[in-house]
Amino acid sequence: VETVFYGLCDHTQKNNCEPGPQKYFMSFFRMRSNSITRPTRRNFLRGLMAAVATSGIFPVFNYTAAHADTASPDAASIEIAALGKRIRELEPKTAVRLDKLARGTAGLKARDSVDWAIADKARLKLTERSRVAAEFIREEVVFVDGWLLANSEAATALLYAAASAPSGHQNQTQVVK
Amino acid sequence: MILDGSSIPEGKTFDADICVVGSGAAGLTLALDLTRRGIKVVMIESGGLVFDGRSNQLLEVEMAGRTTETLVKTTRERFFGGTTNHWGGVCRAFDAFEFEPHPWMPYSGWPISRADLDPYYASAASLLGLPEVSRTFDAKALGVADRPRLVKEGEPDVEPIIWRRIPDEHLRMGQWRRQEVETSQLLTCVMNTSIVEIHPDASLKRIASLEGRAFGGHTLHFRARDFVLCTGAIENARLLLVSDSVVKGGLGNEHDLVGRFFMDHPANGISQVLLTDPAKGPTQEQFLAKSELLGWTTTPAARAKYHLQGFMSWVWPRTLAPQPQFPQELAMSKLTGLPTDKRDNDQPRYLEIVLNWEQAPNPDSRVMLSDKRDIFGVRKPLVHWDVLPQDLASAHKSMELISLAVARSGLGRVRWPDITNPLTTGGGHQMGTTRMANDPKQGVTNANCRVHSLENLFIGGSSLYPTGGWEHPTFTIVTLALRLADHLAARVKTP
Repeated sequence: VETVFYGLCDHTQKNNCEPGPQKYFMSFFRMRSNSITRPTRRNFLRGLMAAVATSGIFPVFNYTAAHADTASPDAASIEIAALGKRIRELEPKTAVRLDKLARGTAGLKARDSVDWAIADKARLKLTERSRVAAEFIREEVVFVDGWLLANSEAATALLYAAASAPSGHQNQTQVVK
Repeated sequence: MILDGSSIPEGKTFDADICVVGSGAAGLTLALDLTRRGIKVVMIESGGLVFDGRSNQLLEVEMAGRTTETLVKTTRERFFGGTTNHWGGVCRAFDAFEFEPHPWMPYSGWPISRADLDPYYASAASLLGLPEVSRTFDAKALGVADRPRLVKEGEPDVEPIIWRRIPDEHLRMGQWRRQEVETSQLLTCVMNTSIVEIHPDASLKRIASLEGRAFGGHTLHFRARDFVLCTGAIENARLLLVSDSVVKGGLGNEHDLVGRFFMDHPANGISQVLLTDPAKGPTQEQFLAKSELLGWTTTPAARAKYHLQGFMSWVWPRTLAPQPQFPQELAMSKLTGLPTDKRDNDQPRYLEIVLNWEQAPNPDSRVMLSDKRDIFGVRKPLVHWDVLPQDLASAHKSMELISLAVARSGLGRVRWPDITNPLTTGGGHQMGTTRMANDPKQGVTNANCRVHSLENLFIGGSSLYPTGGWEHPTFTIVTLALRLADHLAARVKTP
């Protein structure tokens, strides 16, 4: 699904890469939900919300927590995921190494799945300014598509790439040739 | 004295000590410096005193390899003053490192050193109204201490650099030196006349005369003790190659080197430094001054360590057209904290920088002859220009090093263009087609700019360059012309 979606936005073409966050979001949502008609989906979600809210299963449930944990990335997150995929494509061996760094920092095991919320949380730690500055000093960097990233920033992008995968996990070793 | 070739009678022969072809940065500098020493010179210019469609048409080239025809055609001028008629006036001496052979760069190394050129660089600076530019970047000594810096001092791989800009009154040589030519008793400038063939004498070791064709079609002849071609890297090679009625393959081409090693400084448009805090700056304007430009290059140590060719990047006046949003810009904003709000028009959130990079000398990049002919029946040049994987790899690494230095400074992040894009074009700095080398099997000309196999044929201009460096070529063209003037003057005094 994601591959098709990114193909819709050709960044190399002028005036064809600014769909705006709403369009990104709706495109993404539509494509993930294309087997359900819009009214049916809305009714289904309403019913589910009501059932959860009244069940007493999650006494501390609130909307914000649910939102952070849902598959609803913003446009920037989707771009970060795409960047992560580019790193994996262009620098597969580096990607394997950085994936370990990212997962280690996020407290994840190699086989743990990643969702957007986990990636967001890890990002705050991985892109902490002093950490990034130290990596620049040590020349721990990745150069991709004309951008220079500190290793931790690139590692973050790999986590987002994993979060964007249907299973929430990317097996890095599969792409290493 | 300036004469119009089209109004001179058919068959007239001009005699002089030295005959100079071309009135651009090399030819005009050389001719006037020789006359200053009492030497009689005839200078031939294919165009008139101002731009003329007829002579401009003679610049047409056929292209193979990368398509850079527009730049090859529009970056040269064929009238009095030559390409200085649109020169940007950006000057910098070639650093000593550029003259040295680099093991990672085949065919590199000049037969002369920076020390050989130092006195002539000083003369060229004086002639053009420039202060001398030193190798070491000392902001205070250079008078730019108040300028912002994107790269901190002490970076091991990247250093700040400065280019001087020619004062306006010295920019267009055809304008500010015209009166000297008009009033000179020793210099005859024949306009509207194109050289169509160089004729060797019976020994084939010396040039006997040049054959010129004026607009109108009549023929003029030029005889001298020494001859100098100063027509640019494409035309210098073309003139040698088309002079093949006696010597098959053209003059000076015994080793099939004439026209080979054609080089340029590939350019890729605009890059940007996205600022960490646009409100704090720096702004584009703070980097710019009428008298100089600031930029960055990789250090010799970095080039030796990573096997790099030259690379330069500098702040340039902002383009008027709005730049499209970069790919991955939203991602970079969220990852790095860079502001990327496109609506923020009041305070530009980025600086625009441009880049040029050096090509490795490549014998397969070359000027040849097309089957098509110009209005005088002379075969047009066929230019095959290409960019090697080595060039791209070197430029990529250089961009990475500059990005790192800028990131370390904390002021922002650089975003470079895709240099693998087939639209990558030349920077209008054609070089290398009659390269200098001590060994005739390695170059067309020797250290004194003389064609190896001909005792009295010399070359002026950037076609002499064995390597292109990262520096703009014109300042060194003027410098080499002054050095050649010294050499030719000494020859004239020798019986």
